Amino acid sequence: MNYILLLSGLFLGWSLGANVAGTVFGTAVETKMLKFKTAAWVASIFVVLGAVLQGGATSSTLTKLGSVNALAGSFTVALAAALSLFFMARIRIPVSSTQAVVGAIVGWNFFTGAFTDFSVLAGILSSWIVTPLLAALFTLVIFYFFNRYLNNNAIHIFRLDYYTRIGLLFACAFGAYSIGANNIASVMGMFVDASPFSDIYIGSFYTISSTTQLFVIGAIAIGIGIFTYSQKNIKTVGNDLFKLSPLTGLIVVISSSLVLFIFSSKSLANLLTFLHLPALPLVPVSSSQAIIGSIVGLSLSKGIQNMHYNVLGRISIGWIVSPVLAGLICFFSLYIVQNVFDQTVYQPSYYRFDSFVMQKLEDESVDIKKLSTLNGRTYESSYDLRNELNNIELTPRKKQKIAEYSFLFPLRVDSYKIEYELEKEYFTQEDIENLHTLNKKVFYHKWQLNDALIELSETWLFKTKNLKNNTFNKELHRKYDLMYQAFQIKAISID
Amino acid sequence: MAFLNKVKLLELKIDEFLDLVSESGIMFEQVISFFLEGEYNLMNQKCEMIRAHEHKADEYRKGIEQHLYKYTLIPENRGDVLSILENTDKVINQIKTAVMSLLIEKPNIPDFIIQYMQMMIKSTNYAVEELIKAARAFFHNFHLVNDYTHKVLFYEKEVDDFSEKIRKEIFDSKIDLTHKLHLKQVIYEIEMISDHCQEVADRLIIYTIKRQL
Repeated sequence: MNYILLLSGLFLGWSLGANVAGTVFGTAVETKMLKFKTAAWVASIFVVLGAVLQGGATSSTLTKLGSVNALAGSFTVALAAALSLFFMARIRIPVSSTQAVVGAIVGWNFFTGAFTDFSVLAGILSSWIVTPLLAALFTLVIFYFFNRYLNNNAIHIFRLDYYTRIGLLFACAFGAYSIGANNIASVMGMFVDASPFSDIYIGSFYTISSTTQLFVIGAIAIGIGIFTYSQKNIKTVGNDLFKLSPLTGLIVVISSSLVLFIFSSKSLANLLTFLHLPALPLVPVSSSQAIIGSIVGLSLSKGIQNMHYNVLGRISIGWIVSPVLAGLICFFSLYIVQNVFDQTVYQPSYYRFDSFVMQKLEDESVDIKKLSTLNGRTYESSYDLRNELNNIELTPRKKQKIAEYSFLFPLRVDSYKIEYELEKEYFTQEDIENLHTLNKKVFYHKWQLNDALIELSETWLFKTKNLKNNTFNKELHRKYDLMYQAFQIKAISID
Repeated sequence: MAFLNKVKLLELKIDEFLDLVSESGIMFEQVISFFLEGEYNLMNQKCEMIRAHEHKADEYRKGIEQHLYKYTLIPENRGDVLSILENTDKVINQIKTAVMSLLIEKPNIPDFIIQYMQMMIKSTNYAVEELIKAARAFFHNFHLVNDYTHKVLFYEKEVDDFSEKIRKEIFDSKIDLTHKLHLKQVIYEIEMISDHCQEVADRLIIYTIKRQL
């Protein structure tokens, strides 16, 4: 049953594959610069590589937006997103799976009463504005350099054709890799917390995590989508908007792939942080938005009189309609799946006010007398907790703090996991030694692990927020996230 | 790498095709000189060479067309390139037609049109030369195409002017009407060479705009 529920994700992956062709090699195949089979093979291979090698970064953002923690819930989220995509495709509006998935996850949050992290949502929504703008900017810059190079260098028409083919092949690979890295989260991200797979240990030195397994099958679904359906659907995204030649198509694919890449590259984000530059959030962005942005940038370079504004308007409206529609479909589908098919669509998030939490809140100068009604109680959703807290006179900041400290997230530090499951490259030798000291210790709340580590060494303390400490704090955040992921224990009695 | 070799081979074929047209233009001027000087043997030799060039150019054109389709090269510009080649081929065809007419019909050229005719032939030759430069530029460096096409148009206009003057002179003269009509036909066939050049130049101008990024 668990595996069957993955089908909606695979369907979503398949439909992404069917549509992705237009984005990465539509122009190349339509203009007969590349054969469909060649382009499809290259795209399929690189989608899988992107998903496996770099796919994790954006999926964690989706998990933060809404931790869909039951397989039937993930099924419904993916199905709602796929249905929304299908509907938008029927009315010939290019939308992305990312938008639909984000809408569906927010729908899941509303249905389950889970807390929607508006800062994460704002990050994703802002990326939807930044993506086309950045793609347009990249196109303007790349177009300028291409044009300058072609004006200053005499390249024979056949030689240029040859270079363009090579360029399109590389752009196809790069585009597919970026889509795999960035969009696999849209396809499989909602299954991460409810994965039916177990980690596979190869000897004692290599582990294929359940997430990687999910990403591989998701990426294969994308590949199958490319092979089985994209040829019928090859019409370039945005070709209605502006007619592309092979060379301009190459510019568009390069710039849009660059945008997808920078929104999914951990290394680049780290480099920017290291250079004290603002790093872009690692969020799944829409490939069709990037393509449309690139085409708008191209039309700006070539003269906007050739732009079909009615098509642009229709596409922009689609970007708003698609997530809203997915959210609504998800909300009602969850109701049906839960009540008609009797499936668990979410695992409750527990908020427990035990003695540790009360002590911690007191230490943090929260007036716990006001919380006397909460003491010893457990809440099954952030929605219930919020309702309870609304009856108490507290600042929103304190309410947030109370929710954060009371959130039940059982962890057990385990030397085996430290050695074989934790991504140790992010930790220093001293960090690892500290963790070994805590071997076998169980914590009910995330902050308890943090405090235990801080007691061992001050290096686990976050520094004052400023530009100088930004890198340190980000790295520390990552360390904590990796530890929560590695040491989380699912089966624990909450009483 | 094999694909790049095919590309290089095609570049070479196109250059050779254009060389044939260019050489035919030069030989056309020589043929007229020999004809006016009564050197029919030399004229005959040059005519044979033009005929061979025309035949070879046809083969090159067909070969290039097949090559372009077989390896789906320049799919975006293929139609344009084929149109340039086919219309440039018409120039060499017309050169052959004109010289064969002279060779077979041996028209009696009256003295009063010889000077104009020589100027007309020179301008025709220039038009062909500039056309070949424009066509080469289209393939190698299309930013230079307009530098040559405007010269083609200029020389074509000159040829038209000379043709008009020659016809006026012919029909103002007192020679036989049959002779007049024969000369008119000869002049018309020479004039057609630059007309074909203009046709290719016009296409080159449009295709160059299309080729811009």
